[in-house]
Amino acid sequence: MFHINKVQILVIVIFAVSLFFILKINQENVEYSNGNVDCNLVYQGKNAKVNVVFLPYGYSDEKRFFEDVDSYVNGEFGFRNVEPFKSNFESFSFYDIVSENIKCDVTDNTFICEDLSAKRAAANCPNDYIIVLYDRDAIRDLIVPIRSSAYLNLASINTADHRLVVLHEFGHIYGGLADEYVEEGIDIDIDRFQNCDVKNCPRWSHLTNSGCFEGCGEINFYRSIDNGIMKNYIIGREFGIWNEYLLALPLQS
Amino acid sequence: MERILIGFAITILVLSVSAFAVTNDCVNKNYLLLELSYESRTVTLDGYTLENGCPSGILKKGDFKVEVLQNNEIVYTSSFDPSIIFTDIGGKDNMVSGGAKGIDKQKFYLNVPAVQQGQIQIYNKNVPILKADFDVKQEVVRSKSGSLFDWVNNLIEEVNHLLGKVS
Repeated sequence: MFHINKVQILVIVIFAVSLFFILKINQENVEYSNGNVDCNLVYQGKNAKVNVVFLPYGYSDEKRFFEDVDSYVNGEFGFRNVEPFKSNFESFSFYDIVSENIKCDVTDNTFICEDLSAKRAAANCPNDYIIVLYDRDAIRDLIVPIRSSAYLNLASINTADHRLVVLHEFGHIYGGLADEYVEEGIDIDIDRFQNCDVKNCPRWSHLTNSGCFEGCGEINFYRSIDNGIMKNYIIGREFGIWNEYLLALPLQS
Repeated sequence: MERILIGFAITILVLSVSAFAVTNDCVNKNYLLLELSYESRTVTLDGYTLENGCPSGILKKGDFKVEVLQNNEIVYTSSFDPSIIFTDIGGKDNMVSGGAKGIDKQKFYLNVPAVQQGQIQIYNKNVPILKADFDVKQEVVRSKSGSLFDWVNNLIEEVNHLLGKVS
């Protein structure tokens, strides 16, 4: 019926190899022509629903930036090793982009990056959340400490702070979590921030491994873990079971 | 005929390997960059531009919601909150401080999927606060890698067509 000779087999093999490369195109590093910015894939989750893009600020050495990104993704205090991101790691993809066009400023001792330049740069990769890393010298930061910040879907990170500051800020922009430490003059909208509750903590009181500790943004509200990442990322090493549930929730739908 | 076929196949192989090295999803995509202002719990649209790249995904946190409508159908929806900024610092006595600060007035941007003509609707706690029409003339500047990719696709189609004739 069909006669396939050697030449046709060769052509089919070449096509198969070509097809393989074409299908792989979407999974590998790329060059974006408008501005010559590289979108580098750091990790592609098998069931990726959330794309996180890292951008540099103040780095004189690209290698150092890549090492920092690797640390924030794969390190001891990175997404790969802290729950609930650890268990849902395949739901995330991470990218980094070396761009010199990111505009940031330090205002009132707070590091804040410009929304526009960060979004334009991040658009070179699939992007849901943007994390700008400010390569800040630890000694300089000891003399003049500056804050990291989170606004909209953009986290501006002082790398001289503890490594868990990235997950803390991500808790704000991705999880909609409030700070669990108490700061004077702060008003918390309890309806908006699900990680804080009123006395007796009815939101999570059904969970056996959670507590009800006084202070969550305001002294009058309560938190589910004594020293979690949203309260103190220097000594806390976990979000706590209720916060982990809240952070994993968007991945379920 | 067979030589032509092999020639085509090898060309496609070379081009696909080249394209593999230099292209991705975002190169051939566009997004609509919305320039917005937040003031007194409301949002105004100051402008919009069509830009080359990937739009942001669907975000689920925040009291505000943006919808992009095309032919009166919602094609994109995402949540955000321009009214609050979090600042944090760790160090002093191993404590973290900073906290959330309310914002009175702020210019900000959202990148949403590009559609040629449509409407933007923004809600604050499900109350509509902004409705604006937009009309973007689609002038997509194809990158080199994008053109290459398209060209490879066209070639594949042509060669497939030829293969069909041969068999």
